[in-house]
Amino acid sequence: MHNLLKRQLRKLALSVDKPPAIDDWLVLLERIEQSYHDADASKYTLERSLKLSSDEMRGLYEEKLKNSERRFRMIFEKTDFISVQGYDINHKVTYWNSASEALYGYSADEAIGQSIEGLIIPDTMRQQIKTAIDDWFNGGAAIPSSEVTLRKKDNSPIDVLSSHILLKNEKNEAEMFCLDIDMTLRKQFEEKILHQAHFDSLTELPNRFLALDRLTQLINEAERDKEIIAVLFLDLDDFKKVNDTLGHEVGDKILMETAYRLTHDLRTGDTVGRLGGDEFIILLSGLNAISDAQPIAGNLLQQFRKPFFIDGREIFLSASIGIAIFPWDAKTPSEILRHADSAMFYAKAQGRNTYEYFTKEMKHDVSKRLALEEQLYSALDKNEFEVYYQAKIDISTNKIMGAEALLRWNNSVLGYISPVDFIPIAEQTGFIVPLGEYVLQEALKMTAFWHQKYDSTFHIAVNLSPRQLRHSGLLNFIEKTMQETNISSKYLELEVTEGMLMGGHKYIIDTLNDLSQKGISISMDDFGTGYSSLSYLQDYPFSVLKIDRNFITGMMDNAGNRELVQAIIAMAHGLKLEVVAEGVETQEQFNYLKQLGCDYAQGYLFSKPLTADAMSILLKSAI
Amino acid sequence: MELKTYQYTPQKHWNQDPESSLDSDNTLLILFGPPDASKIFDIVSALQEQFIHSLIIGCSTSGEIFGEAVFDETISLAIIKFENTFIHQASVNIHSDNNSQEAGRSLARALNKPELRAVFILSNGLLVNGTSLIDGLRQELGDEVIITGGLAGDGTRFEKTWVMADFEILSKSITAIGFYGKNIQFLHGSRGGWDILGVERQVSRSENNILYELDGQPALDLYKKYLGDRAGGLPSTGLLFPLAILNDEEEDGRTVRTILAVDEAEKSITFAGDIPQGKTVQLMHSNFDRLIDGASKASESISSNSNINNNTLLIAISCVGRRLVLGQRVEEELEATLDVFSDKPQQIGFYSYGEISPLASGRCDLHNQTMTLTLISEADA
Repeated sequence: MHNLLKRQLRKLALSVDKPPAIDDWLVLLERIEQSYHDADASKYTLERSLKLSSDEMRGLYEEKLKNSERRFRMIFEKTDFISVQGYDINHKVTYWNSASEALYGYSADEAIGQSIEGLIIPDTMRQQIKTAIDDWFNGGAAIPSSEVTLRKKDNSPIDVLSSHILLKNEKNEAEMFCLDIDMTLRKQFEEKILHQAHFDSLTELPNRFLALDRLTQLINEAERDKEIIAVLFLDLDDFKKVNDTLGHEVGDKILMETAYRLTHDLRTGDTVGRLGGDEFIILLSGLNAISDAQPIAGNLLQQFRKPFFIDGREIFLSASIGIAIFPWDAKTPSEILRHADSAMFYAKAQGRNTYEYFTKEMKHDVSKRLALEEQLYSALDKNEFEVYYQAKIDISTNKIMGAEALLRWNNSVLGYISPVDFIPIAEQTGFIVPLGEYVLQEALKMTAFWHQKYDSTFHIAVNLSPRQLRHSGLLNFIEKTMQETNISSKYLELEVTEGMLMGGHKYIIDTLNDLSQKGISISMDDFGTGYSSLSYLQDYPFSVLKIDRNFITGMMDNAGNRELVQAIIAMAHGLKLEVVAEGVETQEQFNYLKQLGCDYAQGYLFSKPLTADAMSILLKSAI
Repeated sequence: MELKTYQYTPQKHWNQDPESSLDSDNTLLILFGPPDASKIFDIVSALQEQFIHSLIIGCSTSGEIFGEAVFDETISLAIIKFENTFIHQASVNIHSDNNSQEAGRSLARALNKPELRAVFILSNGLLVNGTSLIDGLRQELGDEVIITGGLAGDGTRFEKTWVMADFEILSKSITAIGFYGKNIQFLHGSRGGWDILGVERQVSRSENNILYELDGQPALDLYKKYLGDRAGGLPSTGLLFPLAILNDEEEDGRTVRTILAVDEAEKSITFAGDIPQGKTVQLMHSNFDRLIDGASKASESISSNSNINNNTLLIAISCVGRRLVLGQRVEEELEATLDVFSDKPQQIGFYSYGEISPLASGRCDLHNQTMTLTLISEADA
């Protein structure tokens, strides 16, 4: 029996076995009815509350879902660089976000309802894309993400990274979404990087990498077609000097102008590249004969006859070209290039501003240069250098007043080597600094000896190179050496060339001024060969001018030279400079210089460069 | 201690005559009676003459519990004569809801004497903010003194309740008995058996124990929607859906609040305790089995004590809301509270507008919709 019924009976003191009296029966019925009502009410309350709360839960859930949907829709709507398009199974556009409007030029109103292919797929891809979309809608393979070129409203192409998603909409219909990311910037960036990897950023010419790649290609073609290729290795003459003196900006402008001149003088199909620095390569293909390269090379050199106008300056430059031929000189790109390089060096050695074909002998020259460089480093330690002295004569008294210190190198392996060969290498490698100090030390030591023994007013002149002038320890070293040798600064003269002054660098004028203030004479060497600028003579603390030997040598046969020498001497004296004539070989020259009032002379007429011992004998004999 | 329990019914009068021999300075009468006090004036007068040395505490109910049964319009009476326990009584008048806390403090100060172990408190059920009352008591007594009790009921009318002290019927009062000495044993247990229903809601407007809005909607509208046809029975049918306030201090993570009154004009609902603004609340509901199970668990939580026997008093204070849900099956929860004891204590009690006992944390609080049990016995000296 149900607990409740049991209790109801008990409360009325009724028995299960015996029917109740009518009064009790009515009360019992009333209570039973009440419990039915209670149960109904309880059920009603429970069901109602469960329904209401589940409705509320669902409302909450739907609200959240709607919020979430709205949020995600917003993300697509607001993103400004992912174009999102939706389309149905008939390829009709159902969704078109604002990034799509911006990317493709169609507004959402224009796009929705149109076929996606008609809008942005170029004609050539249309059938293929249509088929791919249909396939996927029909259960086929998914469309992989890919980079494609689509079409804008104005028909211009647009590079995008395109991804596709297949979804079911709320009606369970398939719906495709396409997410496109504009790749224009990346493409441009890639192209830029690719360009940077293959082209020289200064001149826009193919760089070494691309030039050699083209050479390889040309060699392959030439091998197949039994043709000839010429490789021209072009190097500007004295470009380093320009760069050092006028600055890199001017140097860069010269290189750009060079690139322009080279490319505009070539046949179509020929390649010009920049290998680095002032080295250019020119590839000539389809030649019939080796000599075909000759007029082209000549023509290229012709391009340098015209001066370069840079920043209001007129600069004359020449170039040297080395030519190597495939297949005669070598079969591989690197070997041909090397040979062209050797030929170029040879052209330089021939006096520059010329071209040379590679010959088997040149191989030897290149290795000689390498050997020289190798020997140079140990030459100081091995005491292979020797300072020679060439006497300078006071024209008015006809007596020795001093000497110029000159360096000689006699190598145990290579024999006698000219300063013309080793000084540029020493300058390039920085070896000139210890070497210059050696010369200065030796010269002052000897001067001290000669002061003591023979002539207490003997002057010594020592050459300074650009690299030395740039070296911060120069001044200290000179002072120290003068102290050690007890030589007064008034007996020391330092010779610099005009080219060193061209850059107008502050450190040069500062150093020269410092030296001058110490009482050291500064002389301008080789005057007349370079720019012969008057302003240098005025601006820098020169006290001596040396007329280049070329003017003196040709002086007696050439009226123009004579006048020039006369003018230089007059001008120098006007500027309170003393004048030294270099390369005086005849009495006639000497007499003429004396007549012009030139102060000093130096040359074979008096003495060739002598060893210290020989100089001592000369001085002794002069007493 | 000596314990006797009695029942008075209009038909049969006392089931046994209360024994005058129990009267002493250490005797306590606990009486639960019908809301209409006029019906018991004579009986109370007779008791007063019989027990001139004894203290009496009592209140009106929403159903008097005697043994395993619930009655209306009757009196349930327990008389305890302590041997080694001293008792004192304190009462305060209340004038408005605002000074419930002060009332609690004042009662506590009156009872706070050496060796105070426990306080049993009965309060007017409609004029008092139970939360504030208990705060006041705790401020003075701390958490060492056990406090149990309940808020008086008046059937399901929510109109007028009373408490009794000094054999006087007091319509606007709170009264409490303090128990002193080391021999008193005072155990308590409290359980609900309600489940949360539906979504969480935010208390968007409330003032103390008056709730105006949930999630910006009038609170009364929500209750009416849930009650449907039974909305006409408000405020009592509101007891079918107590409100759970999320509260980490409670064992089950929530405080349960029951309806005391509704205001149609303001569309507000007054609860037996505070509904703080900004709190998260949920409706609750229950069914017969869950409530009966709750009562059983309240009893189990104290049944392990070995000293329980027929000379132990079990005071059951259960919420009127439970009676409303359980209907005629209400007595099953009274059987359940006794079932767990092998040697059964004597049970009296009442259906209330609020229950008072410590939480699991030991902090006393007002409960609603629970079965709250207090077990009183005295150890041998």
